[in-house]
Amino acid sequence: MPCIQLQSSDGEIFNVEFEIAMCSFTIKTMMVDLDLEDNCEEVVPLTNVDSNILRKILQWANYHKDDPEANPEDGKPVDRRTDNICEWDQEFMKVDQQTLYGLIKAANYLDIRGLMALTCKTVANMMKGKTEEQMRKMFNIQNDLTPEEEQQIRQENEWCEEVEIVAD
Amino acid sequence: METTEISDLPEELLPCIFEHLPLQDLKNAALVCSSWAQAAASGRFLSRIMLRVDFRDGVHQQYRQYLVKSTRAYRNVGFYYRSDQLDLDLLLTVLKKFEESILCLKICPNYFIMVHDLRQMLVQVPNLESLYIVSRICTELGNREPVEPFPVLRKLKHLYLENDAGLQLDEIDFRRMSPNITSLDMDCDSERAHSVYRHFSSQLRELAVFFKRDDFFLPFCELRFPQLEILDFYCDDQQFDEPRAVLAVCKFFRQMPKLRRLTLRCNVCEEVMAAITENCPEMTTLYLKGDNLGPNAFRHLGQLKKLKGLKVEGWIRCNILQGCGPIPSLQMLYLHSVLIDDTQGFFRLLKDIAPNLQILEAIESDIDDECLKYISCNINSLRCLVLEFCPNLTEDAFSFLDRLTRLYELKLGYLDVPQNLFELIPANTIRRFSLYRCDKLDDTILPMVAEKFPNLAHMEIASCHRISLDGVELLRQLMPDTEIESFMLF
Repeated sequence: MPCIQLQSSDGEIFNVEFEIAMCSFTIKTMMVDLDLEDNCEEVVPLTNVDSNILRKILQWANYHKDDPEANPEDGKPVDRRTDNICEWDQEFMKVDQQTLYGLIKAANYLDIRGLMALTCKTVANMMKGKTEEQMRKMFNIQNDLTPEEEQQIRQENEWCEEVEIVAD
Repeated sequence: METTEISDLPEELLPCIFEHLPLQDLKNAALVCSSWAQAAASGRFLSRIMLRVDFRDGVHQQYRQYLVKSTRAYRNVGFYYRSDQLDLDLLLTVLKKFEESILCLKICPNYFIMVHDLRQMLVQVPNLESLYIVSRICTELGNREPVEPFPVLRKLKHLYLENDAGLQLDEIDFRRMSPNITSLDMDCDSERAHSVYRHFSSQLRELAVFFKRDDFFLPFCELRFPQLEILDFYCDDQQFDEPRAVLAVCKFFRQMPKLRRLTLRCNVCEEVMAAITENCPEMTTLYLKGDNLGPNAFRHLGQLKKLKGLKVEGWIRCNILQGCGPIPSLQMLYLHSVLIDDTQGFFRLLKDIAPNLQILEAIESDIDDECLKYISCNINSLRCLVLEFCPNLTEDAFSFLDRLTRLYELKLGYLDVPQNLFELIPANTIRRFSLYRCDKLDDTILPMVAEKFPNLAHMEIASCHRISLDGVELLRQLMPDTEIESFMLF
């Protein structure tokens, strides 16, 4: 099985099966651009991802390597559901908030769509059903809105309703 | 940089998270802090939102204040007001405020709108893409000042007119005002309406037409819509019965090669079905009335290789699936207000015709226990089952539910099933479950729900009169990992 070497920001080198590394569109593009496709000696530096996060990502990518490739869903409505997370992913997402945000950032940087959706859904699930005060507490956020600004948002919110979208 | 808090994330990532929130949670998130407020008001969310400016209960000063101060660039705006109390100045202020960002405008006065008021509104929205005029359009009686020409709305793509509002007025000519329209929704009962349809026929992609009278039905069927992808067709049943009409309608469908979604809210006979199946290869969704379908009506349905959803309503007097070949693409079957003379036979054929059926919805249908048992044991591909208002179903019907090993979602509404329903339901794989207006069920069933649906991710209970909010609270404690929503409970 052909491998490539990925280097985390803290210098650790991971030997990764080619096929698994390709879940990242960023790496895929890099390989093509740098013409590394036939050259396994080269080390690909990932300056934005530390070894803890990279290890988690590779674990996820390994489990999902046989998933059908995410097609670019142009024009398709965003999958807003958050209850369609498989059991393995739910287990995988049992991490502290710091790791979770690290994964979102890395998934975004590496352009791994499945992982991006999973991590964002997980955070969205932490927000769901909560009042603004409960959200602030959950995410440790200070309210910097003035009472007038807050009242303005509250009032506008009341006038907002969902646009109906007819799906095929 | 260490990312330890959500506020350390790059700001462009917050909207990626918000994208997965239902509107109510998004509204709450907007109140958390200023950067969340900003993220929640970005364009991708405002596309999802209609700003409803409603002063049917009187014009309040607060409307003006808050709307003028808004920092959100709203894209969709709906005006609801009493025709006799139009505060045109306020509406124009709102339009002026959001002018360039507005893509969709709904004008919904309770009775009528004056033609010059309409003109003043449309002048403010140069980028408009969708316009809904949900009322009559009137001119000043008696001394009529000439109305200045209406603006040309080059970006207007979608137009909805209640009945055929305004078409009789000389001031309003949509052929000139909206040259690039691709979607039109109005009645066709006048010479003017017919000529508007004829004018746009070569460019329309989407069309909803209603015939209240006979006069323009046949002339309309002579029009050709070569680009049409979505068609909703409503007319009286008798208009369809004449042989001359059947011929015209068949011809009509022969020239619509791009049609992919069709609603025929009128009796459909076999000839018309044949014209559709033979000439519309792109069809994915077909909604039909079943009353006139003969035993061979669906014989050629298998020719629609892309058909994903089929909805039938009315009285199915014979086994319409007889002779129909397999349709592997078919995923959704909706049976609404359906009486089937031979239910057993219908589902026996369905099993082979739709080997990949995922969603079955029976609303107001005569499906019975034997039938549901048959479905449970045989249509193994099902992922979602919706049963509403099926008076022939008793608690016995559900005892084989666990045979549907892929079932993910179950919705029960208006069912007269008693308490012991949950004793008979076997434990199963379902992850989404909802109960709506099942009035014989009370709080005592809720612990049973936790036992019989151990894998629930989402549960919804609405308007079940004997289930209380306290009961739901208890269920929340029993199922801490399940998202439980309740509506209209006391």
